Amino acid sequence: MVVCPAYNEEESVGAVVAELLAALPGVEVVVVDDGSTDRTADRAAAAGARVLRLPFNMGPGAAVRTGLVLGVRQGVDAVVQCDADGQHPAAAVPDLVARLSEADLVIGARWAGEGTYQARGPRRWAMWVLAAVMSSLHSTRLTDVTSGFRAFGPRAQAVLAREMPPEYLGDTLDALVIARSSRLRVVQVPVAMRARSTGVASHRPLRSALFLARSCLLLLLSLSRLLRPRGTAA
Amino acid sequence: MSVGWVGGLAAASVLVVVARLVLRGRLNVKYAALWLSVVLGVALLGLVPGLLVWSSDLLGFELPANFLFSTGLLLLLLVGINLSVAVTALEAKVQRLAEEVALLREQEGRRDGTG
Repeated sequence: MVVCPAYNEEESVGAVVAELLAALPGVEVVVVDDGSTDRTADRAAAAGARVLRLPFNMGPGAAVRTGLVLGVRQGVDAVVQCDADGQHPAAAVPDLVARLSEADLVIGARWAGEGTYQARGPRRWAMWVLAAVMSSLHSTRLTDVTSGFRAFGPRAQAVLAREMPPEYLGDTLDALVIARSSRLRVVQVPVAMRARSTGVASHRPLRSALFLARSCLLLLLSLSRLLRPRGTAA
Repeated sequence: MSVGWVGGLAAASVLVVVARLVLRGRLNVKYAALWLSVVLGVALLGLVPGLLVWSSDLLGFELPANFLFSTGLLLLLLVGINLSVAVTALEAKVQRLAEEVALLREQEGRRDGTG
């Protein structure tokens, strides 16, 4: 099952769904419309996706969590999260799923040797620090900890369907710390990502300074979870 | 005794406001209990001024007013934190409900065959 959280992505969601369905025959594509005010849900349905409509906007983490709840209830082996803006290549989905044999959570990572995506300035430093912290936390090399291209095995689905934080950055960083405290195994797969087909990435200096501050605060708060580690996820 | 009057008056008016809110169903009893106990404390201090002087002496405050203000600030701080916790719990519940709504709406759409 592929889950695409989508908030006002009417321009791209149709093409993304079509690409996923073409590249992955027999796989269910679920678009979770996070309270969009445009025609995202209609475009996704027209392209052949199952569409879950959240009644109001709650953030990317909440949309993914809804997809995970569906995955848990249907008992699927793998839920793959994929952005609706077209930056994640459908062809890489099987690579992510294949690695679930040895892990509970597989991250599709930019900067891991594939592709040309680059970040600069404070955002880049933030990414570097976060990657270093997460790598040591999970005792594996993680280079792109804020990636929204991820595969969840059954154990990761069960844990994160309950605990995925709804807000931006919480859904990636905090989720990785939750994964650690629930003893989920995390690995990464290099993926060549495309530039977004629509929408703007946050590259402005002020934005990225804010990103740095926000992610550091979140990381500090988040790491306190590990002071009270829980048992292995059921 | 003018200070005692002001305290008593303040307590009485808060009492009236809280009672009205509860009666109109705009305030849950558990929050009403919180504010009523604050009222009770204020009224007690207003009616028995010696109590404030005695307790600030006991805790080493030179001015009873300082004791009153720091206690009041601390109390409001705790109430504020308590409310943030309550709001967080509510947000989590709202999120669960929104997820269920999305899932149920989709199920119903499939059953009706309208997608």
